[in-house]
Amino acid sequence: MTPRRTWLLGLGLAALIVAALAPFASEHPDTLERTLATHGTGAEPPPATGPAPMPDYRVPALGAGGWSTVVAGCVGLGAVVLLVRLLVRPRRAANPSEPRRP
Amino acid sequence: MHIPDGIMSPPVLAVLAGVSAAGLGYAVRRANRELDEATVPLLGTMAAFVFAAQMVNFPIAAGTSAHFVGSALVGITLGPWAGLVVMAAVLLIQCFLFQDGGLTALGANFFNMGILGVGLAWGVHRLATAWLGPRAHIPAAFFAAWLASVVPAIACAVELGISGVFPIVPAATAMGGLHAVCGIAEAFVTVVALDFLRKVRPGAVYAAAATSPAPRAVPCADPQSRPGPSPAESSGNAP
Repeated sequence: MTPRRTWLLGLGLAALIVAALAPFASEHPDTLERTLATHGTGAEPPPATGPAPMPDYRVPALGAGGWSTVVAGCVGLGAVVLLVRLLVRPRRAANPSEPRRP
Repeated sequence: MHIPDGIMSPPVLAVLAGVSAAGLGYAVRRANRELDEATVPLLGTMAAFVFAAQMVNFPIAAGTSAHFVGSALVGITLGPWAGLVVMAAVLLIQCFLFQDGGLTALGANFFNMGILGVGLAWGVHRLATAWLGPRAHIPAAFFAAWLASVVPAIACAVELGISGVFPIVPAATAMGGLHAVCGIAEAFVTVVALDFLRKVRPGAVYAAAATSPAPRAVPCADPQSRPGPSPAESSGNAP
């Protein structure tokens, strides 16, 4: 598979998941939140104070609707790919014993 | 299972942050040494897939939700080093852009879902396929993915128990029990994704490549196109 096809197929599939499934994600507490609620001895965790621009996978300017999640998710996809690209700097060029790609 | 800020005790946070920083640094170096440029598209798209899949919380028992984590998928497909780099990228973006997982708990989250999850899944899958042969690939991946859901969940409960957030044994039992259920979904998604990858990109499975007579363990490798391995390389730990 050519690099271009890998990107198209992989990112296409990821975007499809973000667009078709993420807006309908369950709002129930996750397993850790559930365990904290059932067995926790302390108070609720303090409200997060991080610098995150899109808390809860929503763009604040777009409200709480499905589109907000889709846009936030697509921004996240781009950011993840960019970060992988920054972290991964292979020492070697593409392996010369591989067939040449068109 | 992303631990938020403000609940884990500073000593536990510090230990896990230290272990995670060292682990990630080492993983980045090893990944860069093992990989070549042709693997970058696979790494990037795997990271995108894991990020997207982690957004989809699905209900499990009794008003509780969980999502696919992907530790086993990246570990089995990309190997431990590149797998850890991909998990780190996903966790960093989730934390810094979406407030999913606390900034101070980043090390703990990477330790659980990365070092433990990816490392365990990769190791179990590799041992099983080395012992039972390549036909064990899918069953081994299923079990490894289930384990990579349950063990990090119990570890998370133990870490928070040591932090005094809740009593260790009941919390670890609860987390382990919930993840024994959602681990089944994790395992299903993992084997479906592995099967899909095998169809669209033969040779993309790191561990399978390492245990088959084919070449050194580089995920992009097309098994037919590489020269045979030297004994040192066939161990999968070529320097």
